[in-house]
Amino acid sequence: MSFGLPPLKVKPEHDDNGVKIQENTFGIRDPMIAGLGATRPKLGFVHPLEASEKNYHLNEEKLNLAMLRNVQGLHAPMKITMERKFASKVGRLPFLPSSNLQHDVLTGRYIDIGFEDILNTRDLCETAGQPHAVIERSLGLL
Amino acid sequence: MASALVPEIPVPGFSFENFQRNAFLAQKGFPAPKATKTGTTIVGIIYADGVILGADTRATENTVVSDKNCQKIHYLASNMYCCGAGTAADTEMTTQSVASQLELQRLHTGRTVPVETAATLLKRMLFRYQGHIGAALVLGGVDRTGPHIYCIYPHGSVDKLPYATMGSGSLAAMAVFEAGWKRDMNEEEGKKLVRDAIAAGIFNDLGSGSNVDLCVIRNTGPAQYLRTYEEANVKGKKQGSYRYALGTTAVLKQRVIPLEVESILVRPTEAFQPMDVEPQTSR
Repeated sequence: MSFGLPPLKVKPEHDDNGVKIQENTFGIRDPMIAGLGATRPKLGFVHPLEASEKNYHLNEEKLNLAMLRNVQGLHAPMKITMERKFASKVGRLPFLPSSNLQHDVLTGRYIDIGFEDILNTRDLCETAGQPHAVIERSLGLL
Repeated sequence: MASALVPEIPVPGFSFENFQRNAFLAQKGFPAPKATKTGTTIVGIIYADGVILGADTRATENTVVSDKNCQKIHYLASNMYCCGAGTAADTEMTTQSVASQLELQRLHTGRTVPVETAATLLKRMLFRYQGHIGAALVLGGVDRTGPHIYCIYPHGSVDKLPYATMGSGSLAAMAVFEAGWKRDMNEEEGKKLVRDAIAAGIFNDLGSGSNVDLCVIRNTGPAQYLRTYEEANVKGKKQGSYRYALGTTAVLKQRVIPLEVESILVRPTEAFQPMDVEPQTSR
């Protein structure tokens, strides 16, 4: 009997961000946009934990919502996912930083401290995208 | 999916950027330095009025002792402490992280946190990192359901036992427990048993040594951390002086070069000096 639960350990194939890589007529990415080294395919994951860590919270939510669906029916995860979707679409432009407070409250991460709050935080990041390009990317034009 | 205009902002948390570079360097003959380990003896028992935790105090880097008196019993909450074996930094950071999560939980619920919560938080974190965080822990504490001892392995499995030992000296310590532990010991008997177990680890295992630390957590009252309960390995006193008296070596020639003072300049420093900043242009 299948309960529809996702695997506890995230498998490497399990990352689909849903974003399509824009290729031009030659099957490579436009070097004017992506840089000269973009044709070399990404070598995959160098560390066994990388795949797991990338999708850890997503997978945890999937597991919990699958269990919730089994217990309460389809409406429960649907409503919860809907609320979270609203919270992730706060009225900020994509290149502006957001504290994600509403999303954190809904997922319960506002009373949690983990390595995500200590290591490599957003305010210490030295790279930033050019605003126009970031918006064009989010709209799918770039 | 990155480009020069839209670079990938790194996700908060662990970054695996340098892993490939490190593997390449190790292959070329420049391996990474070894982390400080605590080849250890850590123990915990349940006695009549609560729990007693014990640990030795030696930290090693391969075959060299790097710290003769380190603290292996870490604070988690007022009613629970955790002994850590394995990589020293991993045990330290893991216990600190879980201690802050327990404090948040206590503030959120308004009650003392049960020991089971700490065990669950630790085991979830260790399983998440699949054993790459090398922390083997003996967690002991007292809550409204009574005293508890958990031993938590680096891959995330948990054992709940009346007495537990971990570390490289765990076999020596467990031998002492198996022979001597009984239900409802009083405090003196319990402390003596824990001290004997740690001493067995100190004297029979190369990775454990120096002093014995104890922590007594009673059902009622605050926890008592007995740092250096006993110094098992006292450094020997030198029996004689090996210094040579002045004049043992004859002086053949002597030349004195005096330092001439050319000038003395006294400059008083002002109490407050304003920083040189460029004048800000208004927008």
